[in-house]
Formats: sequence, C-alpha cells, structure tokens
Amino acid sequence: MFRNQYDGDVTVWSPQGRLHQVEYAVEAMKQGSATVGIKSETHAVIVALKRAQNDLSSHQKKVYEIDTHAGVSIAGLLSDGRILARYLQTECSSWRWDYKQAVPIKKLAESMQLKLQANTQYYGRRPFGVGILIAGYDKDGAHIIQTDPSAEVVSMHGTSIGARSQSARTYLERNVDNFEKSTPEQLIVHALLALRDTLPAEENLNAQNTSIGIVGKDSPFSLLEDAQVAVHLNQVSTHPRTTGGAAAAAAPGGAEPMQM
Amino acid sequence: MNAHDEVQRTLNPTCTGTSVIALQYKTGVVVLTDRVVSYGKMARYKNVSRQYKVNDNVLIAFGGDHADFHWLQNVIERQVLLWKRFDQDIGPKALHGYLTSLLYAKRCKMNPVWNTLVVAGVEEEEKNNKETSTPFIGVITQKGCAYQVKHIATGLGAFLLNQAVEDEWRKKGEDLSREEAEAVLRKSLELTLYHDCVADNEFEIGRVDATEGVVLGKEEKIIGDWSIAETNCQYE
Repeated sequence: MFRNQYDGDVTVWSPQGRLHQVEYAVEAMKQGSATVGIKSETHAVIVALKRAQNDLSSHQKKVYEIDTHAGVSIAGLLSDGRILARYLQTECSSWRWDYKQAVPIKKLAESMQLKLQANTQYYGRRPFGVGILIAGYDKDGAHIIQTDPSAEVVSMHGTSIGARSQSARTYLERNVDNFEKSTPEQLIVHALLALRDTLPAEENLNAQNTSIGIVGKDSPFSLLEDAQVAVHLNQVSTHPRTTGGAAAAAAPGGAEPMQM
Repeated sequence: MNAHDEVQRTLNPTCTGTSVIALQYKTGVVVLTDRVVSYGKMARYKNVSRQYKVNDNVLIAFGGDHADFHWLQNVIERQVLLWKRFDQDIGPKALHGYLTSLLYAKRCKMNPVWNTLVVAGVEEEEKNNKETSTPFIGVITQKGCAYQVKHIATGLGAFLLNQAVEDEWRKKGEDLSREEAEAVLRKSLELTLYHDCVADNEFEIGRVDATEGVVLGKEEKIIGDWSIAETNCQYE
C-alpha cells in the first residue's frame, strides 16, 4: 500500500472509483489472526486463533457469546471488534425485550450491515478495522455471517478471515461438500484443520491459542473451555499436517486432508 | 402536558366495541365478537368486524375504541412487514409481547390505547405437531397489563361470563372439540345479550387452528329467549 492524495478521508473517492481509507481498514482485518466459521444443517461452529502480546501476557479473547443462540469471532483490531460484539449483544437483548424471543440471525446481519456502512459514508468517521463471523442458530437453521469493514455482509456455508486465511479457505473449498451432514464434533475438527492451515510450519494449535464456539439445534452457544479444546485438538493432531495450499497443490490427491 | 393534549389523547373512548370471548380447544382457539359499533350506548354502526387477521397464524380481536384499534392495526401491519424482511411471520407470543410493551409505554405517557386486546394463535413450529401444539390466547388491557389464558371474556363479559366459561371448560375435561367450544361461545353471547345493553345479537366466530390456520368467521345471528324478560320488574 502506498500513500496517495485520495486517502485522506473515507468520503473521498479516488479517480479509479475506490475508497482508500475503507481499503486500509480491510487490510487491518487481513492482518488480524485468523478465524474460521463453518456450518452443517444443524450446527454452526467458529474457531479462532488467539495471539499473545508477549510471553508474559495472556491471549486476547476473540470469541464472544452475544445471546444464547449466537456468538461472534473477531479478526482485526480487537478493540473495534469488542465494540461490535457489544453492539450485537444489545441488539439481541432489545429484540428479546420487544418480542420475548431470540432475534433472527438475518436481523443481526442487517443491523451490522447498516452500522458498518454508515462509517464509510460520513465525513470524520472511520471504518471499523475488523471483520467478524457470526455463528447462530434460529428458526431458519444454522447460519454463518461474514462481515468486513467495507460493510460487505454475507451469509456463508464456510469461511475464514484474517491473516493467511486463504489457506483455510482452500481447505474449506475442498471439503465443503462434507459439512452439511457433519456431526458437531466432525464440524469442529474440520474448522480446526482449516485454522491450522493458516499457521506457519513452525507453529501449531494448542489449548491456549485456540478458541472454539459452537451453537446448534437444542444446544445454546457455548465457548469451549481449555480442557475441551484440548480434546478436539487431539483429534486434529491425528491428521497429517500439510503446509496449506502449497503442499496440497504439489501432491494432488495424495494429501487429501481428511476422510470422515 | 401541552395546551391541547387533552384533545389529542384518548381520554374517553368514542366509538366502542364491547366483550370479546375466546376459548381454547384441542388444536386451536375460537374467538367470538359481536358486530356492532356503539357511540355511547347507541348502536351507531352495524356489520363491523372486531377481528383482524394478522397472518396465517395470528388473529387479534379487540374491545374498546375502534379508532384506536385502527391505529394499532397500522402498527401491527408494519410489524408484519418488519418480520417479512427476515423471511419470518410474526407469531402470537412475539406479537403479544410487543403489544404489551407498546400499550404499557403509551399509558405511561398518559396517552393510553383504549383497547382490550385478545391475541389468539398458534406458533408456526407447533403447527404440524398436534401432540405438543399449545394454542395461544393472550390478553392485554389498555394499561399494558398482560397475561396468558386458556379462556377469557373481556369487557362486561369479564363480570358476566368468566365463571360460566370456565365451568363449561372444566366440565369437558379442559379438552374441548371445536364444536363444543363454539357452543360455549354462542351460549355466552346469549348471556351478554340479556345483560349487556351494548352487546348485539349479530356476531362472528373466528378461529386459529393448528391445521387450517386463521379462519375468519361468517356473520351469524341469534334471537334468544325473551320470555325471561317478564320476570324483570322494570320491563314494560
């Protein structure tokens, strides 16, 4: 990215028809540690990779419950993400206050989209430097919603955002046909395998740097504890490590990540 | 309060409807209202329904001020459209919850909606499962006092009919067929007709059924037995 005379404010167009400030915000999201979301017919899972500032600090929390039927995970500026998580929590509780029942996930997506878009159109505002994945279960079934700072809000079967997330998406694209009929446990393993592909070869997932959130039919959103995360990570460790897209491309067919 | 607020608020209802009677049966709810609009005690307009179909799962009947209900009808329509945006139909419980907050908020501003509402319906998810299906009847007063019931009579009917309806309901083991439930409603209307001077003998019975959804009633009429009038010493 280079500075240029059209990136002073979000409201200023470049002659190529781009909003540079908005694109910078999308870059901020791309630099955040990765998060993956996938869904089956009955469940939606979000997993996230947490970073620690240094060896002495704890890992930054990235997955939040927003209601009994929905949760979010964040990639990008976590302080911006927390604002959005709290906003969604208030949206959930105000719908409950009005109608005494859980908010439709489509309503959350719409509210998010409006909030994000407003920050790309008014002078003096700044887009949120964060993308979030909303996992939810409502009357229409399981949902994964992806948002980004340019107010692109979309419903996905499976997706990933954040640093090196292309590797995770490559995994998801290869396995997307298996998701729909997956059990919750299988779904978590798929998500973790995708997340593992975003890591450089010398690093690995562990109970400290991994978050798992799951929600589904008759099971409220739960953020898994360290011990439970370890159980799923054991499952994942039985699958041979590929170095994401590169290795798999080098050995087509031979390195199919998993059979379940 | 501003200078002219007293003329902008419903401090007295003008054109009114009287009792609403509703009763749960095995797979749904039946609702009876008469079809007259009173201006004070005068029967000012006839052939006016007091039941409003919200969607296939929800029916609302009201007593009290007609103009206020027309305003509410507009509010409800907008709610239906809001839910449609999320590909959903608003259910009876959600609408009951929403209207409760609305009526309570309005009364807190000293500007009540002068209606007693009866929200009847079935939840979409329960529609196709007759074993667990629980038909819904929710009541809201003009002060925002709200509750859920198995059977209800509002207006003057609250004084005249609640015990009679409950007795009938218990006699049938709390598990009436639709025909039995409608028979109870017709008998109840006959009782209001004798005792409530603004009740009318032309009425309709709407229903919300787990299989058929909302079915609006047809206009019906009863005459009653006026020989009992002779026993009233004020009757000429």
